[in-house]
Amino acid sequence: MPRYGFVINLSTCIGCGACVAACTEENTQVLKELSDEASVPLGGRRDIRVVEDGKFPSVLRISYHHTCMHCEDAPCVSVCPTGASYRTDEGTVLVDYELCIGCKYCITACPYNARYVNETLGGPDKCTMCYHRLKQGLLPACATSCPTDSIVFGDLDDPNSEVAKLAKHAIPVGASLGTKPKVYVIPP
Amino acid sequence: MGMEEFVFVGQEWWGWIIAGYLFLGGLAGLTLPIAYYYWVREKNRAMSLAGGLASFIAIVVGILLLIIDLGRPQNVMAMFTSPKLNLHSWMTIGTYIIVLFTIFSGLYTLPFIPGLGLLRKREYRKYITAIGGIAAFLGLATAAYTGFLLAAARGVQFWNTPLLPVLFVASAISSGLCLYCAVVSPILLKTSPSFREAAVRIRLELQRLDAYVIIGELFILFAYLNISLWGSPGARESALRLISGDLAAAFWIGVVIAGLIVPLLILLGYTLRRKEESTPVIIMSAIAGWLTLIGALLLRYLILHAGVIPTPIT
Repeated sequence: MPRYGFVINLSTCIGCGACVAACTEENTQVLKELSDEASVPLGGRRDIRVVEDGKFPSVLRISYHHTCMHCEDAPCVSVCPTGASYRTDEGTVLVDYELCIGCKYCITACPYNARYVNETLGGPDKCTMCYHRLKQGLLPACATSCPTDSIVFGDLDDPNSEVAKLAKHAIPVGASLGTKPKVYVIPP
Repeated sequence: MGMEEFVFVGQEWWGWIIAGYLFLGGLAGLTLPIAYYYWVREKNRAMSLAGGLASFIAIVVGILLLIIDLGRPQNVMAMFTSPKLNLHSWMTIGTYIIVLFTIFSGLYTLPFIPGLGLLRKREYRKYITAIGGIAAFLGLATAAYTGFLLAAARGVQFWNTPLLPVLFVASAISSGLCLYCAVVSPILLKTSPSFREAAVRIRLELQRLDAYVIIGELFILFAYLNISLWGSPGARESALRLISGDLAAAFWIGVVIAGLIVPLLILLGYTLRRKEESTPVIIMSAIAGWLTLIGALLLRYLILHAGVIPTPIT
């Protein structure tokens, strides 16, 4: 089984937000299967947060990516009472709406604040790594839409994959939280 | 750029409804064991009827609040039927505790309802005592689990401490004791002649214990906030919101002064010194009781509302 993850290159990301728009467009279509009125709000599943750092003249404008880390030791899965939050064999963290009661415990359990309440569905929604696309052999929408190829997706266990090579020199996001995140960043 | 930086996002998903539930869970959970104590010690039926009924109503209203707060109530039966039910989750453990507690608090109260004649047979009493024991244990478990539930939510670092269940249990004991002084006792004084004889002694016992519990709760609260200030970034941020930030007025005036110190002063300075159930004593006991109850609800709301999720940005 592959072990999917992301490396986000903050040194090449221009903060254009194409990934955010692509995520919303792609996944709104998926949610429509659950409810006609459902949609993914902009910034819901993934967001870009622009932070200015440093002092003139050495300043940086960094676009941080805010999304699900698909943790190997995922607190959202541990606390979910009904097993609605679960990890697939590929290590993707998903929500099963047949079982979700909307108690929001997963949201308070996530130290990355990666989940939000989807008002139409009444339950938590989050990044799925575009699981429906993975099943068709396609990349997640955010990765395909990035004009500077700053979002690299693939199998972290395949030593020949680009993502595995980059991850060796990248930083796992918030590693001190101890949940074994699978999103890495290359610092700016 | 530091190795890890955080942006704090306020926890906005659990608000007044869940605060109300946590409060009622603690209140119901401790009201029944107090009634049970007076049943075992002196076969006080009036207190078991009033306390058992109050406890049953409080937990039923609490469960309704929980269901109202669900985003997908249509799936609520998944708590019992899901093939993937997670028995390690405090949400699951708690659900089973409160369902069993509701059943056992109802079963315990039933024989005390006048006219059913269930108490007439002495051999029934041992069953009532056994059921009451189970109900009292489940009540304590209900009060404690509300703290463990929050403590296990890793996103909100302010809650991730063993002091939280301890604080909630202390606050629940105080709430249970005060429910008698604020509501149960005034009703029983009017309706139960047998209670009237014991009323002064029982009130003094309950209020004496309450004074100790309030002092203990003040210390636990101090320890909780102080340790949070020295803890993880999210815990510190939340503690600062309560101590000196946007929630400070509600916390100091509502919880600490009106909810703990004023009731303590009323107990120590007035009601514990009065050996009779005069109208002023009843009124002052009720004021101290209601202030404690409102303070306990506000404490839970503020602890929920002060919670922040420190999202790492690097």
